[in-house]
Amino acid sequence: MAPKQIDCFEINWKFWKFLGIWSENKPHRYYKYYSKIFITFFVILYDVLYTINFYFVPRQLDLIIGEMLFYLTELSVLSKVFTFIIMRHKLKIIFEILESDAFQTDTEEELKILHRAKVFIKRYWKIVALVSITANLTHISSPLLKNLIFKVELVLPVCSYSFLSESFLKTFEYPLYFYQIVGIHFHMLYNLNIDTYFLGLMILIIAQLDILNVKFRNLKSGKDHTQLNESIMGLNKNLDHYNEIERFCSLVQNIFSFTLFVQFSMASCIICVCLFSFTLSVPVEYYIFLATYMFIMIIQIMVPCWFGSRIMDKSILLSSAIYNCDWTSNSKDFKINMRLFVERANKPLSITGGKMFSLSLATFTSIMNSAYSFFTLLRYIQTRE
Amino acid sequence: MMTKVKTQGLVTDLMPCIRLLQAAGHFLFNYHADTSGMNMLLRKIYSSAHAVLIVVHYICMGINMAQYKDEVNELTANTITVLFFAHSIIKLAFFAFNSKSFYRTLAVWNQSNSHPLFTESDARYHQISLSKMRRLLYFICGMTVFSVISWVTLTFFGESVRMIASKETNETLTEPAPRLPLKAWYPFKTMSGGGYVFAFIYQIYFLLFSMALANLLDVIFCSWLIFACEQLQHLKAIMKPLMELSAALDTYRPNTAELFRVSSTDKTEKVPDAVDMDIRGIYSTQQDFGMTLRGAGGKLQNFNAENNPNGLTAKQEMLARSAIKYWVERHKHVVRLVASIGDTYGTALLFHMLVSTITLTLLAYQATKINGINVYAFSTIGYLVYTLGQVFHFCIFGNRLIEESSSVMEAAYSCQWYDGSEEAKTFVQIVCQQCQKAMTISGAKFFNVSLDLFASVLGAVVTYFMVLIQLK
Repeated sequence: MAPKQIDCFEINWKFWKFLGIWSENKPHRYYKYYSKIFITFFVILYDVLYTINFYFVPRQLDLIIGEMLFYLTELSVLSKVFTFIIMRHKLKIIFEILESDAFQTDTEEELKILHRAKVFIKRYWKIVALVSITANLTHISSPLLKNLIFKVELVLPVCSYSFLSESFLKTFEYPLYFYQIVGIHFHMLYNLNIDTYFLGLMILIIAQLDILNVKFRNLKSGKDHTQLNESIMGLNKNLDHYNEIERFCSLVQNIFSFTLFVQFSMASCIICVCLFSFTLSVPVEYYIFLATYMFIMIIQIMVPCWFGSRIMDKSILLSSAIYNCDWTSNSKDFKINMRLFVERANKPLSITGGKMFSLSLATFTSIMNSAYSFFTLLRYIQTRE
Repeated sequence: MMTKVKTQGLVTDLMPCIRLLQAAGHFLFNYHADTSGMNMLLRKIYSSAHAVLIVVHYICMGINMAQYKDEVNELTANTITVLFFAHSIIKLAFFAFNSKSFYRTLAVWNQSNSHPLFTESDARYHQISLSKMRRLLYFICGMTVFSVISWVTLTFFGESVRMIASKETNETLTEPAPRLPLKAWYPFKTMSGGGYVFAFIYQIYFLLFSMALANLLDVIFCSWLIFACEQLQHLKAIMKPLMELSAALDTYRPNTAELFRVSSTDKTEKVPDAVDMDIRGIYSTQQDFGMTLRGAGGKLQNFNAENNPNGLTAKQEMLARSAIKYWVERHKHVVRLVASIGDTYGTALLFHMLVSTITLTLLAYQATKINGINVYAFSTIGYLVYTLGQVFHFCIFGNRLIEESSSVMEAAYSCQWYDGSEEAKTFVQIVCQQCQKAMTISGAKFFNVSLDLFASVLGAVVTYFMVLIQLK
């Protein structure tokens, strides 16, 4: 029995179950209580405290920007968690569609394409996990180590909780510290698993488009009536396949549109804040953390944009693929169907976030441009003060 | 004794360029007659020796740049020179790593289809593309040699000095430097004597070979584009006879008494085997082809409506269909060739544009300091013209490809398709739809190679120049 397509998401499932956002078809009795408590404590409370903190921070640009570093990521994590809670049913439909007949493979070559896609998804998860966990651990463990070894005062790594009194902070410094590091770790895990899942979906769409490309190229014509009939049936089956892929794409867009919109809106602000933090005078290990953090943030928007561009390119290539088959000797119905399909294929399949940001390299370039503009603006304000 | 190597397709056409590439030291080891181990080893040693010499001299230039980085003008001038020759190093490495895809692109046109009706047109356009490729090669070789000669000549004018920033007084002093075409660091003294002569000869070799390395690879790219464009011209040229063939065999033309007379010269036609599409054995005379003047209404219509209501015999219908098939297969072949060219050379174009952009920015800054007709002005303008010329070189051919491929649709429309058979009209429709999107060469999907790119580069240089002039 061929391995299922969605096996590559197994590790994502495990993490989602732990993080309280994914319940199987027959969940444990108390799972929903567990997930509600987990999310309230580690996500909602965390963000509420963070937001309250902003009111109590003194109104200086340096300090505000220092606090903002994690806040924007928290917002995008919040949007992702809400997406998963609200769109639970549609997510289950995605998995059902991936396993349906339309997306199954027939030939060796198609199996190879799919296999390569799955391997890539798993490998990408490992790379991103490695980088994020390293960045996270270096950032959160260095204050603790400095406190334990050098007896330096413990600085809260994420948020300075300035609304609490000094004595409160002193007595409860370790519990607050652990709450913050555990919370930021879980947020990182949310980010990691949901982003890699979304990317995995895009890679599977690309694999399906590749398979369809191969199928179109191999459409044969025939000499007698039955062969010609067969070839039209083959073409129609491929056209159905294309429709299925298109429907899948719009379902994915439906589910992730809001979170993509939030993520992309935050993206240029996040990069600008990172760039600005580089200019502040901070210790060396903070620079290393900043560099890896900015790298991850850039990758977080570049990779979806890159693969979104690839989806658009591959769907346009389908019209050349069908031109490359042996259509000249085929029947008239075949040619009519082919023409209509090419008209459709000339408009690319794209995924759009919030009806504004379509996933493409052009969006990525404009985000980087606006990040740099915000950065120069902030610098100007800072030098004027 | 070297036996002539059997080559076909693009390799035959581009053989002079390939031989020049091999002579210049690229890692091109195919297309030799004898591939015995000894000779291959000798060729590899030859290429590696060139690569080593060029890279060593480039590193010497880099060391010189690092040595004199304190003074801004000196640093800018040295950076421009280093970037200028970075093209050669990049192209050398690029070819070495990508030689497989170059061989694949050169082999794309090894088997091409043919049709007895269109061989003459095919040969004519092939000849045109060959002559254009030769002319391009001669022109680029001539320009390269001219650049080297003018560079060496310019060395003997002006004062041969170097700018140093004096640390104490913070002003620039001049220090005598060897009168060589390029500023580089050498482990031996080069002010005069044997060291000077050796360095001079080494630099002439470096100039000639590094420019040849970069330019010849661009020539191969542009020759491919010339070939693809001429194939598209051929396809456009045969569209009209194709339509006329299908129209002549198909259209009911009420042309008086001719209509009802059975031609006495009608031989019994050999009906071809439906499976065997090889039509060469069947058609032998002009009459068989039915290629008479359109005004006369073509060959007499045979109203034996056994299989086909339009009056075509099976033989004539197959002729029209085979011509259409030839056209479509040839077009698909050209699309494959262009895709292969884009895959092979796209990344090299991206690197070229990146390096050229930085070079041109610095050159715009240098150009603001021109204060008269002197050596400085000539060398800055020379660098500018050469760099812009390199970019223009491939932009113009990329643009021609875009124009040719999108004009196929107009050619398909401008022939008399309304007289053609059903099949011909369907064919025209599909071709028009396919050719609406022009075939482009993209630099690794970042930009399209066209005159728009050149215009934006030129516009950017002029803008920087104007802004910097204002700031002074």
